[in-house]
Amino acid sequence: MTVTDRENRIREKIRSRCDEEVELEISLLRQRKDYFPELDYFLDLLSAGQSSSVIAGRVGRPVAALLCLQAPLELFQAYGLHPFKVFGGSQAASRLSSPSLPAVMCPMLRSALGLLQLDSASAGDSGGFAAWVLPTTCDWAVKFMEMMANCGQENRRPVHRLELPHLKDRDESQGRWLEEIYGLRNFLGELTGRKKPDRGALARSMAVYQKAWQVFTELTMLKRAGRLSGPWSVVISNSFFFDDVQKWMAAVEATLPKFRERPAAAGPEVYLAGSPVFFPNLKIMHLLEDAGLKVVMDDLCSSERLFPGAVFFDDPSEHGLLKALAQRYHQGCLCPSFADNDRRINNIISPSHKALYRGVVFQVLKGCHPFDLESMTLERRLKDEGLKFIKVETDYTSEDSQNLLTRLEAYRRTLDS
Amino acid sequence: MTIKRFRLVTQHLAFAVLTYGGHFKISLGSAIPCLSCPFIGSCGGGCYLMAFQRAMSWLFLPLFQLIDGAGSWEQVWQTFSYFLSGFGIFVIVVILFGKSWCGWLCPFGLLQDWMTRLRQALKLREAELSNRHKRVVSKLKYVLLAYLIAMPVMVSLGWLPRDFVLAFCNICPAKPLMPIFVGDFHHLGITANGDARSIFSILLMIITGGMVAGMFFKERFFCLLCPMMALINLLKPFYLLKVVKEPEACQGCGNCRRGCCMDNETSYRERIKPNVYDPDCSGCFNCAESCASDGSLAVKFGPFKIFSSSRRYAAKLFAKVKP
Amino acid sequence: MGYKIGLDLGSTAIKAVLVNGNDMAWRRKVATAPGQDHLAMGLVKDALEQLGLAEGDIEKVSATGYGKKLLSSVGHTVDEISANAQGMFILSGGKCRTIINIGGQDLKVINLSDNGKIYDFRMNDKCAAGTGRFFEQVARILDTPLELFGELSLKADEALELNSTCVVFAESEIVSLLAKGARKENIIKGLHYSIARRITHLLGRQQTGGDIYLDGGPSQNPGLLDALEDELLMEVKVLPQPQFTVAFGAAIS
Repeated sequence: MTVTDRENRIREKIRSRCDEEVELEISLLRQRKDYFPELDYFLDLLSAGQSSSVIAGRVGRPVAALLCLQAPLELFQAYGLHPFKVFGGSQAASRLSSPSLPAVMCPMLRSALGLLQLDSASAGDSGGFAAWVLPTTCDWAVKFMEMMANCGQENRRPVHRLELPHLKDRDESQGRWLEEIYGLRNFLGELTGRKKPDRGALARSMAVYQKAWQVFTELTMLKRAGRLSGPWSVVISNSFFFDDVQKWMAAVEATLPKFRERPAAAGPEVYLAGSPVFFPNLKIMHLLEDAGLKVVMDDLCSSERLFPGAVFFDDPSEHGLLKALAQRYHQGCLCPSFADNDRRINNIISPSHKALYRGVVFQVLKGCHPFDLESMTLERRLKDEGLKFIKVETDYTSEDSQNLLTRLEAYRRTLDS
Repeated sequence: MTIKRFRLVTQHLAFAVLTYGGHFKISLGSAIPCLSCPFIGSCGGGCYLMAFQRAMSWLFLPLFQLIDGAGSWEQVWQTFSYFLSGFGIFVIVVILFGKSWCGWLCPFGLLQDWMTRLRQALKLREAELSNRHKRVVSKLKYVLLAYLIAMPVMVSLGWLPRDFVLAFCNICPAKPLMPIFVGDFHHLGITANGDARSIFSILLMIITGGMVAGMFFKERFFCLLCPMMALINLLKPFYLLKVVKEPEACQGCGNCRRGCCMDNETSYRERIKPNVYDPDCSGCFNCAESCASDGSLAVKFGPFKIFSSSRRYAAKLFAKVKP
Repeated sequence: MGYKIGLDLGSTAIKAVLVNGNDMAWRRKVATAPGQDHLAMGLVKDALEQLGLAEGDIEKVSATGYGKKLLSSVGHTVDEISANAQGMFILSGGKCRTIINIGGQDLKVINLSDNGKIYDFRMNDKCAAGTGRFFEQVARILDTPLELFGELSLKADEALELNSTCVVFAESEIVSLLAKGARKENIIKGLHYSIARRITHLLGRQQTGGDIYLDGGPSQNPGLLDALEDELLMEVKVLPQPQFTVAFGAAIS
């Protein structure tokens, strides 16, 4: 496809806007009172941007793009690939993809599609992702490749789709999902030319992620205690896919003593639920802080649900490992796109019985239907329990900040009473 | 120390005491609720099933005599109270430790765990039993329980020869396998007398062969069929040691089900009740230990919580897993 | 001593009240214009002059509304939802349980518990539909002063259906209605109904036990009140000075 000079100029303009967004957010973060130099690692990863070739260079192996956390990361690692979850938090990048997309749509993927256009323009055929792995979670994820094509991006890389059963509890759907995981294994084997199953590599990879999860759990506990603030929690978890998991883990470990030294923040504890939060759009995290609310728990797939961890298995054969991964990533997932999801709501409510938080803030990105639909269920259930709930509907623009802040401030008052 | 490690140590101690205790004058009686085989010469405490089968062969005699017009109620009561002196001990120890007799103390259970370890070390795939089939197989233990009661009773009626008193022991794979650990290969082989014994010995060898294969490819396969478990199950409402669930805190990740040595589903499926003691539970508490949801599964002794699942504990446990 | 001043820096008007105990001793509003800091301080000065008070007589000055952060000299700020709740609860003599507030660019529904605390609230998002801004826009299209809307709508013989509460789309809808020769009165009545429906929608399934009060600028419009009562199927009360409840609430909080 030929690119006109005008298109190029638009692209470059948007690229510089994206850079500005990132720089602005990073300088905001660096000026914070709870900034310390160990956090530079994460900020540097994020400021280097979502360029596939940069990431591939950094991790020193081919990068496979994936759209959702439903595909076991351990498998990619076992086949010598680096999994990178595609996301977008840039408002500027959305302007590149918007003309070819529905008006009401997930702002995250709109932005991601814009960023991908920028990336493919610079990476060309030599760089880019080695393959695409797309689990069919929400409608936006199902239609992703189509949208990418509509945005004028031809994908020449292999694509593997995983059909996600939207029922978790039935034996039949668990069986089907296990087949899908076998399918992914075969795909990765073909892709990397390692057709012979390598049980040992998979077990080692799982052990690495288990260890990373342990470190991540320590970080989560610091959030529970109010020592890790919302914005940093997002920064650290967002940078997870930008580097080798072991390096990231070591960097997180280095921050732990620093966060432990910090005094616990004041303000009522809240549970942040709903659509994910992605750098550089930390608007909601900043507003929550400005309103004096302290996020101690969340169930965002961008932070606490980053990777499942805790994959127990008592059958160390290759089949046993794949089965454990399949089950852990499927039936343990709390994404709202599932049909039998009572456990998701339960999991939000149950920490309140132990007085771990005082209210729930539910963020919906406009166009994110599964979360929007579910917010009604959650509101009803929470109110039945006598708990406070606020839903904030927003997108990546900043013009509603004042309105949101007013609401969050008033919400804080209701938590005090 | 993790529960896993603690259990492993306890299992080996129990194995040593129950298998070699006789040499050191340890005698824990004959009402032990696990397969501690009395055919071992130095057995430190006998499997209650043997005493139970024996009791079945005389317990109803005075009653039958009474029906025939002989004997007296006094004799019936005397026999019965004698039976209760043994059964009572069994009941008390079962109430104390519940199913954990199977998972923590049973020597035959440990033998099965060794076989599982061997399979795991060889990285061989575990055989899978679908839920539907498992439900059927697991019912067989009640059939076996009925069998081990019916046979000695029939002996007492004179319908069967005395060889049928220990009808279950005669087909129990622990009988030929456990004495091996004290160097006794006596029960391994076929007796060629042409009577009931030799039929039993052929049957036993077939069963043992099948069980060894089953136990190697499926963790604790015999437990699924064990009539001791069926007998312990009868006291289920009274256990002091048990696993409880807070269904609201459950994320549904399935760790408990995968961790379960019996592949039970109850702890994973349960959405309302706190009681998740499955009839096939062996009381090992792997479920609570592998659960990464804070407070979702807990081990209780009477009213006291002695362990509660937590994300942190699970994180530490899993970080130790060797590839 | 004991006097308190409340300032409500809204998007269309700046409201100031001087409170003595729980009584609104003085009030005034000015239209919002650049230099809000200056305008608000001017109101404070007016209050002191008219009541013959010195600065030392003022216990505290509190600010609320979108412009509250613009006031450099005011230490105490309250969010407008809490200020509204507090002001309305006191002014209604503790009777109010639901507040419907129509502000310059937002629409709020606040539920109060029996002790006057906020129980729940809803607010429109960044869309200006149904807000004061919408009224102003329509007034401009119809070339009719906003103050006459209530009176005119009462003279209507029917309420014309307006499908959109969106400021942008309503404009073209009204223009085409006018072109078809529709009566202004009927359009205004239709407008009131469309706003009333939007408020009803915002109220959703929220509890509406106890008295409902309407406040904010447009609450002085009897036509809107009629439409709202008709849509909600409940009585809606309005206090004598509905524009000052928020400023009053800020003062006493």
